[in-house]
Amino acid sequence: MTKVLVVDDELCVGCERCAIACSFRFFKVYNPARGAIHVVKLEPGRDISVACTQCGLCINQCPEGALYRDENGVVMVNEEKCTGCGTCVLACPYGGVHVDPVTKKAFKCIACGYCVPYCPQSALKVVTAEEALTTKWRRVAKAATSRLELPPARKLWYKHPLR
Amino acid sequence: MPRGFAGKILRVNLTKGTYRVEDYPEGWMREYLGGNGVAARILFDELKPGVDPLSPDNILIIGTGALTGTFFPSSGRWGAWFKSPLTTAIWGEAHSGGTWGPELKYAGFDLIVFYGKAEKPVYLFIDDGKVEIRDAKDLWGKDVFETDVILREEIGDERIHSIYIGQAGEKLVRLACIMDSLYRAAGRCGSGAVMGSKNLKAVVCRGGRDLEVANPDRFQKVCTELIEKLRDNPITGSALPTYGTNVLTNITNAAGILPTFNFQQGWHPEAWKNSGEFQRETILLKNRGCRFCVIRCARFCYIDSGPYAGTIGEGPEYETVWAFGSQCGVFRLDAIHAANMLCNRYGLDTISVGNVIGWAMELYERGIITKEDTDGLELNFGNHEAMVELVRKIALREGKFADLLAEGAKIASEKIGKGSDRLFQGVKWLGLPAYEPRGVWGHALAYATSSRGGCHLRAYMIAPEILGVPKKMDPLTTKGKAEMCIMFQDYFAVIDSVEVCKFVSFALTLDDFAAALTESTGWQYTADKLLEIGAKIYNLERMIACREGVRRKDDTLPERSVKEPAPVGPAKGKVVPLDEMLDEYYELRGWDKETGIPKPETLRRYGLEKAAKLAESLLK
Repeated sequence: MTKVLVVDDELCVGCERCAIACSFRFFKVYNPARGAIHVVKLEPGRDISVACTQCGLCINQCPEGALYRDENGVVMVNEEKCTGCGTCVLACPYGGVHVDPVTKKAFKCIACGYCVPYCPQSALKVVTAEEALTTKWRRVAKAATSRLELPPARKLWYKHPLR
Repeated sequence: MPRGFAGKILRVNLTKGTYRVEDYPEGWMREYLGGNGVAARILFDELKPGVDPLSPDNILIIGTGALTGTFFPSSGRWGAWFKSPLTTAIWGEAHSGGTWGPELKYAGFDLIVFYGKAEKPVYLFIDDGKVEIRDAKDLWGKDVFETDVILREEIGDERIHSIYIGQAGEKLVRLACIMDSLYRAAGRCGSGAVMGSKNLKAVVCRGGRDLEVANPDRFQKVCTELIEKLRDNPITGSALPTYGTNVLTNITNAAGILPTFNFQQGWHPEAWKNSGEFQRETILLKNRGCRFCVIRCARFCYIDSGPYAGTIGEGPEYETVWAFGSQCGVFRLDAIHAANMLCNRYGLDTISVGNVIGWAMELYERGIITKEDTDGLELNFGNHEAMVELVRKIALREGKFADLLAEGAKIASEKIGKGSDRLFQGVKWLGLPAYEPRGVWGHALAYATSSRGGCHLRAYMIAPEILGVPKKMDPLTTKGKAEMCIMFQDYFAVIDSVEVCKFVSFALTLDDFAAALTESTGWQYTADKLLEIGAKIYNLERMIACREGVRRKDDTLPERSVKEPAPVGPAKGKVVPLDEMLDEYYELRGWDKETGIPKPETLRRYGLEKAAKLAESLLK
C-alpha cells in the first residue's frame, strides 16, 4: 500500500522543525531550504507544511525516465538518471519536488518519516493512501468553504498599501 | 572551517554606502560564543564614549550566536546591540524570536555591524551572500505589516525573511523596537530608534547556504535528547504550549507580585480576566511557534466583538498583558490585544510603552499633570479607550503630550517636574517589567544590577523564587540571593551569546548547553567553562557602562520599592532591603563596593587586559 506524509493544518504552528530535520536526514547539514518539506505561512495566522503527495503525475513527464514508483508505492528519484532538468518541478501541481542546489538532482519527500517524531505539535504522520483519504476530504471541504472562515479584518490588513 | 557558525561578519558603513565582509575571528567564536559576547567586545573596542545614541556615531550590531539556526531546540533567535537612546545604562540590547536570525546565517553572515547614517532611507538586502544597499523610499512611512507586504512584492519572493521598523522607529520614538515576521519584537532599550536614526528601514535575508556542525550525528543525538527533556518538563512541555507566557498572570497575582496601578500594589481581584487560562477560553485561535521552536508559546488571538472587534494577530504575551493590563488598571483582554496590535503595527516596545502610560496615569490621578497637559485625555487607571489612543499617539508623535512620552520617561519627567521622576518605575530609566520587586527580593536585585537597566531577562530570579527552578527559594529573604543572581546572570549571558530562547533554561542545564556546544563547534566546553565565559561577558558589559559613568548609585530601585511598604500580599508591610544584597553582590562579583566598578584583578582573571587598565584609571 502506498505510503504518504500528511500534515494536519489545524495543528501546524509553522516552526519549521520538519524542514530542518529533513535537511539533516539527507545532507547532514542544517538548511530548511534544502528540505523536502516546506513551511508556508499565510498571514494572518495560517501555517502549513507542504510536501509531495506521492500522486505520481511527474513520473511520465520525466524525459530521462528517472522517476519511478517503488515497491512501497513511493515515488522515487533515480539519481543516476536524473539530470536536474526541472521538468518534474514544472509538472508538479503541489510544489512537492525541487532541484537541490548542491547535488543538482530532483529532490522530494519519500515518506521516510524522519521528521514525524520531531514535530512538536504531532501534526505530521506517515500513513497509507487509504488512511490519507479523510485528510484529503477535510482539505477539499476547507478549500470549498474557506471564505466563511476568513475573519473580516484580513482584507483591511493585507490590502497592498501602494494600490 | 568554523563549525556551527556562518563564519563571516558584515560591516556596513551607511554614510558611505559601502560594506566589508570580514572573517569571524576564531578566538571570538571560541571565547565569546557570538551574540552578546562578541557584541560587547565590538562595542568596547569601537564605540567612542560619550556619543549621542541617536547620532551617526552610534554603532548598531544585529546578529546571531553559536547555536542559532542549528537543530538545538528553539534556536530561532537574534539580537540587537547598541548604545541605548532610552536608558542611562549605556549598554543597550534587545533579543527576538521569529524567523530572521537563522536566515541571516543561511545567507552567510553571523553578525552585521552598522556604522554611520544613510543619506536617504535605505534597506539592506542579503541574498545568499550577496549584499546590496537598496533605496527604501517606497517603504518609509509605512507600518510593519505594509512593509512586510511591499518587501515581498518588491523582491518577488515569498521566501525572504525580514526585520524592520515601523513609523515609531522612523520618528525616533525612544520606545520603538525592531520587528521580525510581523509580530516578534526585539523590544527594549529603544532599538528601533537607533535603526531609525541610521535611516535604515529593514534588513532582508534570503539564504540557501548550509550550516554545518563539527559532529553532525552526535550533535543530532544530543539535541534529540534535549527535545525529550523539554517535552517532559511541566513548564516547557505543557504550561507554555497550553497557556503561553500568560500562564504567569494567575501565578504572579497569587504570589502578590503582579504589579498593579503602576506598581502601587502586587495583587488585584480581577487579574483572572487577563489570565492565560481565560485568554485560551475566549480569544485564542491557535498557538504558534517561532522558527525551530519546540515550546510554541506564541498566541494567535482574535477579538470578534465589542469596541475592538476585528483585532487579530499574535500575542498578547504575559509582559504585554501586564503592561496594558494591570499596570494601567485595565482588566479586559480585548483592549490589551488592541494596544498590543498597535504596538506591533507601529513597532513599539509593549513593556516600555505600557510602563510609561501607567506612570502617566498615576501622575494624572495624583494631579501632577492635568487634562490640559494630556491633550484632553482622561488618564484615569482603567480608562482603556485613552490607553489605546495614547499608544497610537505615541507611535506617531501626535500632540505635545504623546510627543513628550515618546522621548521616554527620563526626558518627559525633566519636562514635567514636580517629583514625577520619583514615581517612574524603572531602573536606569528602563521601565520595569511585570514583577513587583517588593515581593521577590532576588528579582529586585536582578533589576538593580542588570546590564541594560530594569529588565527581567538578564537574571530570571522568578524561576527559583516562585517556580522553583533550579531550586525553590524563599522570595522574602536576602539569603543566597546574590549568589543565585550572579549564577543566573552568567548563565543568561551565555544563552544570549549562543542566541537561543531562554525558555529552554526551565528544562535544560548548563551541562546540556556544554554538551551541545562541544558537538556543534568541536571545541571542548564544560559547565564551569561556560559560566566563566558568561562572567567575562557580564564584566565586559559592565565596563562599557562604567566607562560612561555608571556607578553603584545607579544600581538602584524605584523609590517606591525601597521606601513604601507593600499594601497587600505576602510581602505586606515590607520593602526591598537592597543595600544589604548589593554589598554581597559586589563582594561576590569582585567589584569595588564603593563605586561598583569591577576591580582590575577581577577583569584580569577573565583575560580582559584592556578593560582592567580602564578600571585602574577609573578607580584612581
